[in-house]
Amino acid sequence: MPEIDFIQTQLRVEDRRTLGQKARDCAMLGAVLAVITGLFLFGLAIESSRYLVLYLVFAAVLFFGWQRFAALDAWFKGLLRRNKIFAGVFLAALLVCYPLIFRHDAYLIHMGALAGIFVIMALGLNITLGFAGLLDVGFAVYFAAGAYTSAQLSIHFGIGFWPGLVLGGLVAAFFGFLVAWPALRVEGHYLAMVTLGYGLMMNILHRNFKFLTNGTDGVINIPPPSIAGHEFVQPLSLFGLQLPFQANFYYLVVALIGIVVFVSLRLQNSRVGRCWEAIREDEIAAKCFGIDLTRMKVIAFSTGAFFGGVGGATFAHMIGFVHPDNFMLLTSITILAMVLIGGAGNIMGVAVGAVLLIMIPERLRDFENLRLLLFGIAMVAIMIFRPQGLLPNVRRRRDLQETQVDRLIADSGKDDPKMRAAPAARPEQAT
Amino acid sequence: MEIWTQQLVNAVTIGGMYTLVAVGFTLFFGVLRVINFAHGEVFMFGSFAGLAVSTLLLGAGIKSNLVILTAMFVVALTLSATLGAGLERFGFKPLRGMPPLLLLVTSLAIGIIIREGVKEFYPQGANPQRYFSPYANETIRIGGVSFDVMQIALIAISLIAVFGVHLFVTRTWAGRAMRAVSEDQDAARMMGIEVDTVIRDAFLVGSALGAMAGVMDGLHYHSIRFDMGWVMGIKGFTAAVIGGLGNVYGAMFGGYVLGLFEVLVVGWIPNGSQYKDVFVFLILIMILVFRPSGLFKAPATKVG
Repeated sequence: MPEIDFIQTQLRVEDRRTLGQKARDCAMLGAVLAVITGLFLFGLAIESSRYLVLYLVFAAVLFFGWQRFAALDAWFKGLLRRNKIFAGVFLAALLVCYPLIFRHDAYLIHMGALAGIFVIMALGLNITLGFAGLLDVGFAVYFAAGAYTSAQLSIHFGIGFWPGLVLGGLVAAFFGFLVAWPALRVEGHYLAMVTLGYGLMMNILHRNFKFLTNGTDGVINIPPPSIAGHEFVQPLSLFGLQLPFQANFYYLVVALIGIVVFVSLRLQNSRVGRCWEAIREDEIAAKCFGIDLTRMKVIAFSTGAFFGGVGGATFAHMIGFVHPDNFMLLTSITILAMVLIGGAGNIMGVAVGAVLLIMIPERLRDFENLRLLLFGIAMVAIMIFRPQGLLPNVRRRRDLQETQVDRLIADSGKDDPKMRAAPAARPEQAT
Repeated sequence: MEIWTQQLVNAVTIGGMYTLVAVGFTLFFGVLRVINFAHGEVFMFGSFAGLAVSTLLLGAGIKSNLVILTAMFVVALTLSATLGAGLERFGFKPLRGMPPLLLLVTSLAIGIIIREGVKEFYPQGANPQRYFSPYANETIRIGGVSFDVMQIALIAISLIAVFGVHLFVTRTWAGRAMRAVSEDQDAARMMGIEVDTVIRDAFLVGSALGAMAGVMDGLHYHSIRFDMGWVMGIKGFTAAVIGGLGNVYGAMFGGYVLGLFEVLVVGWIPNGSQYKDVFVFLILIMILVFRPSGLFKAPATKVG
């Protein structure tokens, strides 16, 4: 297929920069990223809810102000694109150093690991929703399937965490497969209703199928994992520093995220990923081109569900306790919100969305009761004012802008040079 | 015999509530092609508005049950209609023409806002509330079987409301405009119908009917909770789907069928009350998958 060849040549555009230019680019990017990271870590360290609100307002102003200046945004994105490897290394270093920075604050490390689990699940939903465009409002089902499977297997059959992780994922994938069958026949709002009904139904079953889930008593005393004789409840020493035991889980989750991101990226650029994209853009056209819709949709649901199950299994062994309340509709909506707020289809965006939606509510403890209310208001605001999410997938953003009401086109699309340049640049490079 | 009559009366009572909620879903879907997930919360809001009125009036020393009941319905309907129109104006209107996903998530989020708002700002809102229950132990005997007075009254109210909806969509200009818009929005616009006004009207009427069901729910079960809107929303939607979304008469049919079905499940299946919602969700999924345009009608509108 010529299309794929063209994309590959585009990826290997020759880098004509001299070593000095490269170094300068990296330095600039490093400086910007360091500032962003600093702001983020500073925000994490704020303990008072009131100051945190101030900080969030400041961050929002900064973010949207940045986006307002299209030139600045384009410059940064160009820099990022030219120095992908450097940015990747920077991010990896940050993830590795996070527990070292907060080594005296076990709670923050725990939160990091929890946020990471939700990143895994949000990335799973991102495959179903972001890549293939299939709405799934019952994602907590897979979360639950993974958690219960690996928890019960380890308690009753002594199966360790690692096989449990895979088995949990597989059982979850089976649940995804189950809903894919009816979901094939409906679309849009109806698909949402089917998955939502599925989620609600399964939650009632979690409460009532006591022989599988122990009902509303929940499953307790789930053993923690261990690796090569190192129990995860022991403190971890790294680079001569003593880290609280939560760091074990943190690094486990980071490693899993790495795998999930790798698989996501490979899938996105694979034949299957392109089929999903075609289905998302226009189902009828995709079918006309001979794409097997059934197969592709089932793969999308099962793959997304598999990652949901992996997240669930990790959750069960980290928290040590699984209860039906963990898998209510609100969980599904939260995971959906992570994907949408971050920007469906964009892996980095989804990860950011998940981290924000876990970290911010945890830190707003003083507003305990108002958190959900604020969550709802924030969701509505984002859907109305920035429907493409905070860090949108480029193509999805363009689609949304085509269908958007005039106001939105007027205020976010007009000065984006990439949008105008993209269609013109492609034929040029192809020849 | 007595048990079955009583069960039938129960079925008609809860069926009436489902019907009223379902009509709302159908009206919204007809004019806007959107499933309003916040509708269940509007129902709950109406119920709490009624409760607030009854508490205030009882506190003011008013003894007449009839006055209190009337005031409850009037205030609850008005407030909820306003709420519904408001959520259309500020939630859905800015998103017209966007992919269904965004509308869906927005209405879910609006639902969360309403629910949490009631929970936080109603006094003791997080706890179950005892509802105003007049005529609590009074019964009347018809043909050797005794019935709860309130229950008979509720059935009468819901039947009157259903008949009112029928008159509204067939005899009034606004109702006919609504039907025209759900048939074909562009053609309706060309005929000089103000589509925006019709959409607003649909949300006013639908939300008011939802609130009516809310007050009835409180009067029937004598207790309400801030989180009861969800399940009612799903059931109302299921009822609307049974009859075919967009079809007002289908919604009425679906509401009563669902009420009957639920009573049968509770009565016949062991542990039925635990699993009745599971069966409702199963029905919902089955119908959406196999008969997406309702049980008895050829597809009138494109699904999706």
